[in-house]
Amino acid sequence: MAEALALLLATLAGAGVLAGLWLFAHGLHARRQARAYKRQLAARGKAAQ
Amino acid sequence: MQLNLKARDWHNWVSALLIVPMLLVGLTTIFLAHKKELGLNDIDLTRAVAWLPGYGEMAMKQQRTEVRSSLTLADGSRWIGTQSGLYRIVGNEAIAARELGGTPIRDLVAAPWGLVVAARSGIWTHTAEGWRRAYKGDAWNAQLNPDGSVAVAVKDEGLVASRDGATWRTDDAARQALAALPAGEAAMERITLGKLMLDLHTGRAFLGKEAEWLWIDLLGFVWVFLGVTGLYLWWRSQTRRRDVARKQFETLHG
Repeated sequence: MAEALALLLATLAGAGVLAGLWLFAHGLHARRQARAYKRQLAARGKAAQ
Repeated sequence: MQLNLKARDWHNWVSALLIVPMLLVGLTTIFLAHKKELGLNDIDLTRAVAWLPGYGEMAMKQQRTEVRSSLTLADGSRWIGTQSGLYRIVGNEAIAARELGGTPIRDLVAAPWGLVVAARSGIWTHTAEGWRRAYKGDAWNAQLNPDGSVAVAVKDEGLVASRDGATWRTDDAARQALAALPAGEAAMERITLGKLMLDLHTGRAFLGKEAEWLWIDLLGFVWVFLGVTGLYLWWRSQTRRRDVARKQFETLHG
């Protein structure tokens, strides 16, 4: 019983940490993409002037 | 004059920098609270974690030389127990007992039937047949009794004794005698400020030894929960900014 509970809690915490790392990696990726779009917009704006 | 602390910026940056350690502490807290049930001390990861700075060559060398026990046998052979293994000293050379490599050695006793080692991984015996783990558990002090038997103190089990090294039995008489002590006669554990700080930290001061895991799990899960929800909010804001920028880009240059 204690072993099953321990395994369940450890699995939950592990899943939480994996989900957190996934969010971290994808958040960084989205941040880079947003900056790239803004750079391109600025560059094309300048070229149009 | 208006003071602008930029609290949100500080909060965001400190969180972003420390989010991985935060998740790691939350996760390891849960594992530590259930170390025994999960049998974590029996899972050997020595080779897999050798790349970590704390387990590098220098750190391991320091552990190897930290002496915890010693014994000289009647034949003159000498044994040294260290924080990370048992060694037989021959001249100026230390020969490691392979079976006990990496294990903290707490005590050594010469019994009539062989050598007895109290180690973190249990009670080990060394006879003509070689090394054998005779009893599983966290063993501390060992002593030879006048009748030739050996008694070893094992964490959470009490005294464990053997007359031949093959069969080990818990000393129920000693355990019952200690348990039967009237409340006034039993020596109170000395609570220092250092101990109180530790017990407030682990929750033992509120819930006792048996239920402190509730406190540890709760705090560990709060750590993971706050880390994950914070990351979710940050991830959502980043994907929204990207989507807005993408839309602007496509509208103007689509």
